[in-house]
Amino acid sequence: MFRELNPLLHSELRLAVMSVLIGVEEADFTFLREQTGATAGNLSVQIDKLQKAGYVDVEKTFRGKMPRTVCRITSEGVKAFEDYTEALKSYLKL
Amino acid sequence: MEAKIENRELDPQQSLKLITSIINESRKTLEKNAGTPMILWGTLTLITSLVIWWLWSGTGNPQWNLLWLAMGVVGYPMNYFWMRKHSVGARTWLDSVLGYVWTLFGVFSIVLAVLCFLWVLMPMVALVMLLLGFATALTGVLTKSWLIICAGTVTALVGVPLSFTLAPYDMILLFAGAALITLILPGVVMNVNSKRR
Repeated sequence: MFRELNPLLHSELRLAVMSVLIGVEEADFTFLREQTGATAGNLSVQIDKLQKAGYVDVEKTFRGKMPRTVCRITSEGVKAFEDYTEALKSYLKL
Repeated sequence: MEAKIENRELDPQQSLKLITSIINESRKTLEKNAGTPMILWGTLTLITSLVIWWLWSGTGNPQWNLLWLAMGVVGYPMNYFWMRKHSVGARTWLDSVLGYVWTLFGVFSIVLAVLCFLWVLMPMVALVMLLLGFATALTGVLTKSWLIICAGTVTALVGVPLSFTLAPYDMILLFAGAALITLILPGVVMNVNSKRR
């Protein structure tokens, strides 16, 4: 029996962002952009969607005079990611 | 990440491949130059200890030990600016835990130094060797590096007994040796390994 894949995570860029954030305590926007190779605009839209779903916390700070956006995965996000990978296993028969 | 990631939907196989690839790439980026702060502090400790040993053994004045404070004054700003310049923009739980371990080592060493300065009789060098060995071995456990675990253990096992047998100014050379074994060598190995990967 196949489990349903969370549609919010079943998009390439959002899944990539969650995959980065699952392995770190926090990551800034630049790091996420470098790791995913996405454009700033697209990445910003997808992070916003993850934030609205409660999967990601976003904090706007400054490093010196430079603005910095820091993202952290929430416990809800960790749960969603774990459920997603479990669901993937049912498709791949792992 | 070489390929540009878009908003397309993936099949389960592609999703799993993407997750694996992103996690591996992130790890590689985070490990890059991770050993450099250890090399920085190790080199500073090595230079400071050799300078203090040279001045103390030459003049017989133990007050040259106050130069340890200068190491902190130089080291912390250097460390701060290096981190700021080379920060990759992400921090792992391991980074935070290691930061706490070494900050606590620094605080405990300063407390010991202050107590010794106030003429409380205690084998300061032996205690710092024990702390240094413990902090290094713990770093090795957390980073899963047998080399660093061994370096910490050797520092404690060799450094503590030796500290009771050497002349006071020669004990400073223990710090030089410990810096080489516990900080510089593991730092170089970490950087070389991350480049290989």
